[in-house]
Amino acid sequence: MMEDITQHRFTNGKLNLRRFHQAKWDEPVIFEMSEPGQRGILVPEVEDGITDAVGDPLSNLPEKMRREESPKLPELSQPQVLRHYVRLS
Amino acid sequence: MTDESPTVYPYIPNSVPAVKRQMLDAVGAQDANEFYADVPENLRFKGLMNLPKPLLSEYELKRHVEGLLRRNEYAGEYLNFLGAGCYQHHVPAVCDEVNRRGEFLTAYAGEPYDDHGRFHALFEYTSMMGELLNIDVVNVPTYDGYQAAATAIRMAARITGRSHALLAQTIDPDKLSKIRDYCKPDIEIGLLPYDRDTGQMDLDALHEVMSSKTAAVYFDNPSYLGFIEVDGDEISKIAHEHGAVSVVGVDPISMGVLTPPVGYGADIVCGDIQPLGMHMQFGGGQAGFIASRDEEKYVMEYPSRLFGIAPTIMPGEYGFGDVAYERTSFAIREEGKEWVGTAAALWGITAGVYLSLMGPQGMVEIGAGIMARSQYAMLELDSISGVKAPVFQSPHFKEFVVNFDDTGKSVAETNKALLGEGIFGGLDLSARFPELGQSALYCVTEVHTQADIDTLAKALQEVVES
Repeated sequence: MMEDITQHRFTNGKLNLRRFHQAKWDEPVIFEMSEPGQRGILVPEVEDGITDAVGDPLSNLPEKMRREESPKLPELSQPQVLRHYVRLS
Repeated sequence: MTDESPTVYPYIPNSVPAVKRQMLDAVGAQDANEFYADVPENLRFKGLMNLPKPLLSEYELKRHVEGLLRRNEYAGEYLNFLGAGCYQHHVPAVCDEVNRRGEFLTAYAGEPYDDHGRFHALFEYTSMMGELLNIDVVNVPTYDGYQAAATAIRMAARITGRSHALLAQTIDPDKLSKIRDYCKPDIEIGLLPYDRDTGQMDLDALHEVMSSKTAAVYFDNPSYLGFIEVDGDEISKIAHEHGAVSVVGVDPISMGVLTPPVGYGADIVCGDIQPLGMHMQFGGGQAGFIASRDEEKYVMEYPSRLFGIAPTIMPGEYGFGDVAYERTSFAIREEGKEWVGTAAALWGITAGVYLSLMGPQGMVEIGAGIMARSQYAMLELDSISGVKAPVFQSPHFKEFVVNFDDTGKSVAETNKALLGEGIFGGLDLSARFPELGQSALYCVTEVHTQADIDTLAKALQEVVES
């Protein structure tokens, strides 16, 4: 007959096992992982037919309405972004 | 309340009759109804609710719901040119992957010590939004962009101690309706007329109506009608000359190419983050943001949660938590500046994922690409006899007004015909902005190819010629 191993879980009514073990990372802030030039996703290119018809799409914006410097967002590859957020979750 | 049926419900633990009986015996109750003894008899529901027969198995339920969904005509199947506040942009797969993580999906009311990852992710979201908007302080999401606008105006009223707000008349009528709801009964809303040729706010009229009672001047940029308000600096200047706050609503996906509102004097910036990685979900994918300078008189008037970073006792470790929590209705229920909710925090995390995937280059490219496509669409539609696009002679971002007056056809007629061709035409503005005649608000984004736009133009040409 097979031994009933469930009896070994407790000593004097107290559980012998660890009850729960949460995964834990010392995860940096996303800006710290940034490397200039990395891309997390590419956006669809504008077709030549559209560019030929409209030229520079920003040309009719008054200078004061054109953003001068790109936003200082982090630059990461897609797996880095996914891994970072899965760890945070 | 008592259920004697032998059904064992998979979603309800302990619904096996014997287990239920054991539990009742343990507390000495005959039946579960005894737990409701404190509820007076006349307040208790009697009989059975008028509900259809339950679909007990997951399969039956799935099949039923899929049957309902199949009746939808949706943007995944149709060529869609509707926008007006809820937009079809590409949602990166990683956005869905992250926000479907059960740990984020169900994280509702955790605290910094037990929900570290969510605080970390939302701190990063607010930081990235700060970079995108070029501003210091960004809140954890509000319900939606409408609420963000209304609350921004209420904040301006508290900051100035005044009770009038002036709004561009080109505002989304639905947004205006929510602003009126939130501003009742103590803040008066006035509308500023616009130039019929350009759509731009009438600055002379603004000069005239500004007074020592004006708390805020509010406009959207890009406007609801798609054009870009180019004199934001003038509008803010006039507001400031009268001691009022300049509040600007902005589409965050335009921020790679358009000057952020602080660049033209805005004191409070607000909007909706739905374009940043949220699907169109019948309103469920919306979430609002409010942003300002890091100035105490502004910061202390946010009703929303603000997250910050701090060192812990462990060298090199970060902690995240609420900033100036005592402002909020969570801290002082009866004295909170405004009631706030937590419904949209998941979308803050998702927008953070979106911005970290896109990076600076992605945001620049998507903004320029959207503008190129929408300009191409305007050219194509304008070349159709009797169709005018755009109605307003101003630069546009992704939306623009198309007028059909000279075609002799109503927007309702053209949209019905387009629907037959598998196309969702632009939003009918004829009831919302009667002064624009038979006009529709069309939206073009990065999801539209040249062929898509050509398909629309060809179909519209056939409609107006028929």
